[in-house]
Amino acid sequence: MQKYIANRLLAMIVSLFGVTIIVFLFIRLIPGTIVEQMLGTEALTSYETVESLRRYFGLDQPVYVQYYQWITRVLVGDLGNSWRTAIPVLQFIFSRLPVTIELTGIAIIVALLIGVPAGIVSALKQNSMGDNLARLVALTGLSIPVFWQGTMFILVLSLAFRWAPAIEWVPPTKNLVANLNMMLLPGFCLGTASAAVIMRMTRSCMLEVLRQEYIRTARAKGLAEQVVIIAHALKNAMIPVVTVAGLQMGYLLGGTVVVEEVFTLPGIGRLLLWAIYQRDYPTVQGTVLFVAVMFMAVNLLVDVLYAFLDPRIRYA
Amino acid sequence: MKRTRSLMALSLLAVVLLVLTSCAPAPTPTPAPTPKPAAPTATPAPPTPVPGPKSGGTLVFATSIDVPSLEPHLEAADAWHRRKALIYENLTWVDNDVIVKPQLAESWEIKDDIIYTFKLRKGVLFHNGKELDAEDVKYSLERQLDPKVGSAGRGDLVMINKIEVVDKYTIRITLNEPTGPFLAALGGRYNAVIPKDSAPTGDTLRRTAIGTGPFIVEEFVPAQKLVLKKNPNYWEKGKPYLDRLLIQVVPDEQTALAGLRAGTIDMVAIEDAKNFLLVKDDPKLLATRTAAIKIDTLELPGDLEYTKNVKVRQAILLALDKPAIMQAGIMGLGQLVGGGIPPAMKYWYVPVEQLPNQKRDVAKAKQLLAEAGYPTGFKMKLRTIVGYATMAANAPVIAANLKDIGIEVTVETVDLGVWIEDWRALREPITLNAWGGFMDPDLLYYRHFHTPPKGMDFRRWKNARADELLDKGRSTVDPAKRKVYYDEMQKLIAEEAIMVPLYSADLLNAMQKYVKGYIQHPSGWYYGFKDTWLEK
Repeated sequence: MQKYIANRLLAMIVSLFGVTIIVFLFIRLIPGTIVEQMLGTEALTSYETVESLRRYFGLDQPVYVQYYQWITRVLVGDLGNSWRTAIPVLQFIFSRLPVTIELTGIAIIVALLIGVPAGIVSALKQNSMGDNLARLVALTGLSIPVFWQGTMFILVLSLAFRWAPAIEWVPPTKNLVANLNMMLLPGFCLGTASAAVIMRMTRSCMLEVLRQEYIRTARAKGLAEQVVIIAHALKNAMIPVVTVAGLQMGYLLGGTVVVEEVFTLPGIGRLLLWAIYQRDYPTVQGTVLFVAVMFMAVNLLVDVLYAFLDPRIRYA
Repeated sequence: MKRTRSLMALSLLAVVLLVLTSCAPAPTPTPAPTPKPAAPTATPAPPTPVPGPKSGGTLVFATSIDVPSLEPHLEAADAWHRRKALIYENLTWVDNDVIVKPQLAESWEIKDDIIYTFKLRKGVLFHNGKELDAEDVKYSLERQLDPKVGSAGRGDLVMINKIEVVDKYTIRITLNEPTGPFLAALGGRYNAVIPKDSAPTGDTLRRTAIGTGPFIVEEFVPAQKLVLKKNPNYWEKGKPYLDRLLIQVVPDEQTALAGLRAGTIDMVAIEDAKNFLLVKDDPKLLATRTAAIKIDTLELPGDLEYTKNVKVRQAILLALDKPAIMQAGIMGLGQLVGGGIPPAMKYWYVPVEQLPNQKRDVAKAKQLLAEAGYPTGFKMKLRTIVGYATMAANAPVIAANLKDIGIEVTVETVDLGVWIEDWRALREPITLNAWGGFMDPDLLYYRHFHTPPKGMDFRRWKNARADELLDKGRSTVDPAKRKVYYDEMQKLIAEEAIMVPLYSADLLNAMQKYVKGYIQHPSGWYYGFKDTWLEK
């Protein structure tokens, strides 16, 4: 086991180095630098200032020198300061993290709350009007882009009911009502597309399980239909559903960029987008690296715990 | 196996989510001697200030434009210059009629056209409680002029030869030569009077601000919000009226307008003209238009195969239907411009009707094209910039107009970075352009049209008459005399069509009806919040 963990950690470090190189090079492929962003139209006229700022940010150095300077600081845990704001990148990220995490959490809950019951009902009433309707809704949910859905929700609610989500985020620990006032609608928008995926998966899994021998046996024993469905069918049908829900987590974290922008949520997605627009390289690099570390760490923890919990698994 | 791993990954992430969410940091509470102008042009009026303002309250203002830093002399973002007017002040400012007025200076005397002696207001306090004196002004100007600091506004002040503190409340500035736009440049966007020695490094003033303006920075969260509170010691007694001003960045304008309809937002700055049309007839809201100091242009460089011929440039200008272009670009919510100076600069503006080549004349355009040697027209590329919606909307109309005289236009869209590189390298092709913020004709024209080394002549015009007019305009101090030169400059540009000014997009705002007294400055800066109050 220890050897396995050591191997995984080594692989993780190699992967992270790959991430640092890719993000470092890709952000530099976008035309324009922070200097044009800082100077605006004045960059057109003041060569002296442009050159002095390029030197200040080290942009006059070859890319490999810039990378070396950055990575040597990262290795000692220093992601540097945001070029545009002078705020330490790590502090910047931590100030935004709770919003993204809450948004993703709400979206997953919404997706499960809608997707699982709809999938079960759809499977139990296969080919009925309800089933067809649920499948149609699921297909629609999958097809509508999140940004459009968000904009339409805002437009319709504000025009018809003169209601709009709050524009300032407050932590749920401070004021839950105010927090949910802002977070529920974006969480709902982000969760609906995933709900459709989960609903389809639940339906097909339930249909498959309901045709199994042991379900027929359970019914033959005279068990109540509710017990058959909940205790026997659902339990087994849910395993692939949970797999899909797990996969959706990555999708949702990607989706937060768009939703955070539409709903003015101060999360990591909006920070990343902002940093790219501003050509704030340390912030872009630091944010991407942070997210990569978070995912790899969680994956590693899952794998390790998995081995402890399931004795059939042999890693060594 | 994969299923179980996913289940555990999900559970772990959920735990991490919960822990991190509950550990979220507590938020900071939030609310909360000048010429007389010519007669105003017939632009839609901003809201009329109502008598009887009352103090108090918080105003929530939403804008899609973000502020990266608060650095008074370095930050070039237009969004910052708009906000900066509320926090920092200068010796002079340019008022709503684009006329230079005293601000921190109470008065000034000019000797030999080069020696300016400013008397400062007494009893003006910085936000940290220190009283403003001449040393602060000297320090601030010298910081901006220091090449090591790297202020983009240094070029606006290079006419300064010497800055001397005469006494605590008097400062003398000697120029190298008479410079007409000097007083306007002192109130320019890169200037700000800060306390002496308050900026030891470049980073300190990016996140905090110590000015003399009507509002004090309470909280600044980049890309999110700027919370300002009333400066109780402001030198203009009784102002500002608002206790607090929350400037919230809302990237999606539809979201901001939804908040306005729902009452969670008090006022919105609208960038997209289509959104203005959505709210302008809402009986519960007030929507305003203000003529602005900015222009959208079509650039016809003087060294390209076709446009080096003045007759081709004139033919292109005559083929254009400017009102139709303005309709497509900004839903008609703007003012037509002919010589470069927009109508908002009332004193300097020459009306389009008084300039040559401004009315569409396809027959004459075809004739000029034939005289230039292109009777059947030619093919040309027109450049636009990624993300500039108005350019994207203008280009097809321009292409259709030019097709009428036989010119086949292909639109190419490039990233802003590419566009700027080509512009700086003096190799920009025929392109659409948009710029603004110039408070004086000299600041609009000189660098753009004067030949090197004094100017950049970005359009490779090499026009001796333009050089002469611009030099005279710069070295003359009397505004009335300067106006003669700039009137001719506008006519010259309309005649030569080296740049085709298309229109000036209005500044658009929408607000609750209880928001009173806000008058939009034509630069887009938020000076108006000093006089704003809430009738509720």
